[in-house]
Amino acid sequence: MSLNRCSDVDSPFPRKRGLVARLRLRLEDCAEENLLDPREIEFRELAEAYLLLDERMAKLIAISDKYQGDLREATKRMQHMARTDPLTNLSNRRDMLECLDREVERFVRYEKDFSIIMFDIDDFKSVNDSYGHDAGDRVLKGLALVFLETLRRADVCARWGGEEFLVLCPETTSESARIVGEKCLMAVSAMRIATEAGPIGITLSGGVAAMQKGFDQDDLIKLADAKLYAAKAAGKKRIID
Amino acid sequence: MKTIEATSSSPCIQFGEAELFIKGESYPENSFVFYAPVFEWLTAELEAAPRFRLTLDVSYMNSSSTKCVLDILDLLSEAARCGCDARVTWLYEAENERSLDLAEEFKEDIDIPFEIVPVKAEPNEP
Repeated sequence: MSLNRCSDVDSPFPRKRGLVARLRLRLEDCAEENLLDPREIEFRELAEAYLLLDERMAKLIAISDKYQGDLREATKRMQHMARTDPLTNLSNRRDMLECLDREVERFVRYEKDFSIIMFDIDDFKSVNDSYGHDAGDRVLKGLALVFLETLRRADVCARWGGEEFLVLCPETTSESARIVGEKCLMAVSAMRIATEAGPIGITLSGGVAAMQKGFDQDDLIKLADAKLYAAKAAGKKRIID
Repeated sequence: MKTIEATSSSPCIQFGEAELFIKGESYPENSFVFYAPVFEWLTAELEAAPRFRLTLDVSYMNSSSTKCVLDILDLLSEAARCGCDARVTWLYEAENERSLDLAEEFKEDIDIPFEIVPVKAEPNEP
């Protein structure tokens, strides 16, 4: 909507459009006359003031709508940014913590099962050291895509730390979550990332933890971390629940 | 019942027998054009209506939509002065304080029964 020309802006008083049209006509009619009647002068002043008010109000509402729209868009963008990991476009740690909070609430109130999987890329440091950080970033982005393609729609996947990813599986037991995790491991094993030295592959390790009575968020994450550690200790490339 | 379906920037509007229901977010590109059919329908409906119920469940509205809602409330007030039993119910999510503030502003402006009802996000809760 153009804010420069008043005629582009709709009257904020649509129910008074008839009145506005009549006032305009009367003002045009008497524009050339020599006004001597004080009542007529007063009417003319009032009519002009009303028409100006109508016009200004229309403009102010249009400006206000525009600023509100801009503010709304900016707020949405900031909300998205505050919850998103910029490299992978996955949820970030903050978003995951909020999702976990809600899921823990649901578990306490409705006893809805849920599980989490903590993944870590095996030997990621050697990818960075051997092929450079750009290749490392490509691995992280490629892995994010694999997660998005492999996980179910209701699952939430976040970049938890450097090369750590946390997946929240609502209404899922630990056995089912392990199956989901194994699918991810399989899909990742087929992924190839281009580097200057040619395509490379990576492997993942994962630890599954199911929510239990008496657990809080930290207990659950600690358990998944411990399972991940066990998977690493057992030779990597595996998932343990 | 006649319905205008909601879009990402305009609310769902349902015109029933002696009732009007507006639900959603309201920031259409041109609010005065969007609400024009509502005015038209409402003006005709109120001509001889002995009673009328307006229910608003709008979580966000821009300035021009606010103006349109004020005009709708004016129409109801006028009808009430002519003997119509016109009432308004404003539903809002309990956490949405902005919506409550807006409702209170509207309520101050008119002299017909105006009920402000908080709605819980999880209606199944005991």
